[in-house]
Amino acid sequence: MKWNEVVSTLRQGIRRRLGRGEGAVVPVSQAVPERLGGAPVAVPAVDVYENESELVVVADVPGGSREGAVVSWEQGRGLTLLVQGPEPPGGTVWTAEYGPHDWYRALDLPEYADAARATSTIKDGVLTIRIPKRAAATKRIRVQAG
Amino acid sequence: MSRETGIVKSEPQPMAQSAERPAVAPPCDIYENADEILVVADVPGAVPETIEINLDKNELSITARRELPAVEGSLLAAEHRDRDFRRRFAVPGGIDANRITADLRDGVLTLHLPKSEALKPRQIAVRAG
Repeated sequence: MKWNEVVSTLRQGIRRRLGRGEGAVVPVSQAVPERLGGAPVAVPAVDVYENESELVVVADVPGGSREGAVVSWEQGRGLTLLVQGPEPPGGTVWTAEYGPHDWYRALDLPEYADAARATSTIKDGVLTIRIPKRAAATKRIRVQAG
Repeated sequence: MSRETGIVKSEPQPMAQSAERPAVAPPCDIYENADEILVVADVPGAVPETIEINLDKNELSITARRELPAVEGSLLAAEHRDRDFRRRFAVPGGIDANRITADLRDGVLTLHLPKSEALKPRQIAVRAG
């Protein structure tokens, strides 16, 4: 195990103990999901980050939990996230600004994203998907003097 | 130079932190059942420590500061996730203010506003004449 990995593992352990873990792990599968049920779908807001080694998609899916979340990818079709919303409480509806709904969004990925190695977690209604870049994407090309 | 212009070089100071981040109103659904009124608000990324709920006279205010994950890298797409949540409601009469409770689950805040005894439905017995 490299030193970086040791530090990273330690840090994750500490974060978990402090209750600031990365959240529940959502498996990433290779298939386009079926719709979950009859609920209408809403489009979650996302932020997308890119650094040297990965792309990070952060999506707001309030009410979504590990059990109802499906993250999947397909060659040429990009990344899909489908998260089941919460069951509404019983009673007369006074105001429904959203009503019962699921979250669904499909995102195109660049060629250099290695979706097969993507990982995903969900915590406090926020879904975070990390997609590593292919090694070739970060390869530097040396410019030689003519 | 400083003697001529009166400008004195000072140590760099950190920028003043703004007191509040921009906030948006979280989408809410409101329900009523026999015992209570329920306000269900979407506050993804908020944790119990960063949520403040106040009841002042008949005004109920919710402020939820969201904890954004620390992600390194440049932002390719931003859809305004760096906002906090703030919303106020006028609470109708007949709510038992002392028994208001709130719970947070998976980024959804549920406020329970219990009805006072006077508002609860009750059956009136009919006496034989």
